[in-house]
Amino acid sequence: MKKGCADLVIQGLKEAGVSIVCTLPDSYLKEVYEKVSSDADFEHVPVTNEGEGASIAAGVWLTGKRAALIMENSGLRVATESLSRLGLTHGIPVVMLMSYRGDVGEDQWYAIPHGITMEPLLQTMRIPYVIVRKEEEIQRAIGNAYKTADTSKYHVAVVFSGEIVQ
Amino acid sequence: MKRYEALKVIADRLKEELCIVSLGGIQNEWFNARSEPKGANLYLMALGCHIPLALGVALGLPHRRVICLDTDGSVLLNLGILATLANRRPKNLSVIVFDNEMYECNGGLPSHTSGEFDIAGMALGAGIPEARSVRSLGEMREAADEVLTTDRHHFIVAKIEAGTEESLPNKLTDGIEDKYLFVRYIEESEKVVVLPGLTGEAGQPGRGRKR
Repeated sequence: MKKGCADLVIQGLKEAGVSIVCTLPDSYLKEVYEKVSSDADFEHVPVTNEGEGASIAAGVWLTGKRAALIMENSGLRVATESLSRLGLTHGIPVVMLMSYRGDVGEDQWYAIPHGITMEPLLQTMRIPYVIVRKEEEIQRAIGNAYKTADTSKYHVAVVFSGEIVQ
Repeated sequence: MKRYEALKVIADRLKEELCIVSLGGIQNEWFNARSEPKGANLYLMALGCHIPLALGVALGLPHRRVICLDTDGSVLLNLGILATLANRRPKNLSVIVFDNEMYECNGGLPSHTSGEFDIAGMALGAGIPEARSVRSLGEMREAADEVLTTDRHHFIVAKIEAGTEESLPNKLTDGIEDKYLFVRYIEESEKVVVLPGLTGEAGQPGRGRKR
């Protein structure tokens, strides 16, 4: 992630009142994971798969606190069954922050499928999402994601792409 | 050991503990075993999500005791959580897995625990201290007492007979209503706002604030 942008992500999470962060690291958001794990304001919960992370974040939401799940967009495919059960079956929301691997400008062949599947999958799941490509949009996008998740009691995704991650 | 008998052993000992309940016949049995407080139980229709969601509740309310009543099928779907539990060992979360060695809802096809696979052994190997199986109501009583009187993480596998207690009244609520009952109970017992309702109104407390 571009210099300074990871700090804006951290600031956005803090302003939204997030205190617990589940992560499964990828390379685009490397700096975010490092900052989350070393920041005493967050309880950092590394997870073994993204469905597990979604479930932990959902449990936190039930208590009135705020959590985030930060991952690569391929993790959305792993988490979809859990997200379906938590969000559609129970109305328990999860806010996800993910990298947009496979977007225009991708330079790794293996990440192209992540781009092919991400938006159709979010749309299939009726998960509202915002794609953030500008530094100045980061904090507002995170704040809005939490607002909408609480209002709709459904998942919201913030996706990072373009010059801030590539 | 019958599951309903084992569940009653646990329910009889509970006060305000929060329980996350797995799916299958266990839901209706728990609904009858622990009738009050109704909202202290979340009946989660999400295989593989029970232990991680219970961990999320335990992290959100570190001063409250949380118990996850899981099943062999659900644990088998997400064994990775054993690694996360082993590294965190959350003091206020205990897991009790009801292992009938089968997928009962589809007529009893065997699960992997009917063979060599041992959930308690897996948990122990993962690094969860004293993870163990109990096989009788006497052992279940001892384990339940220990879970409720000691300040550490417990991982218990209750090996149970096949079969669901059929003569009980049915739980009538769905997953959405169960969510609200659980959230409202947390709001009431914690004096905290989880669902603020309309915001912007005078005196309306926001999410996460103490009432």
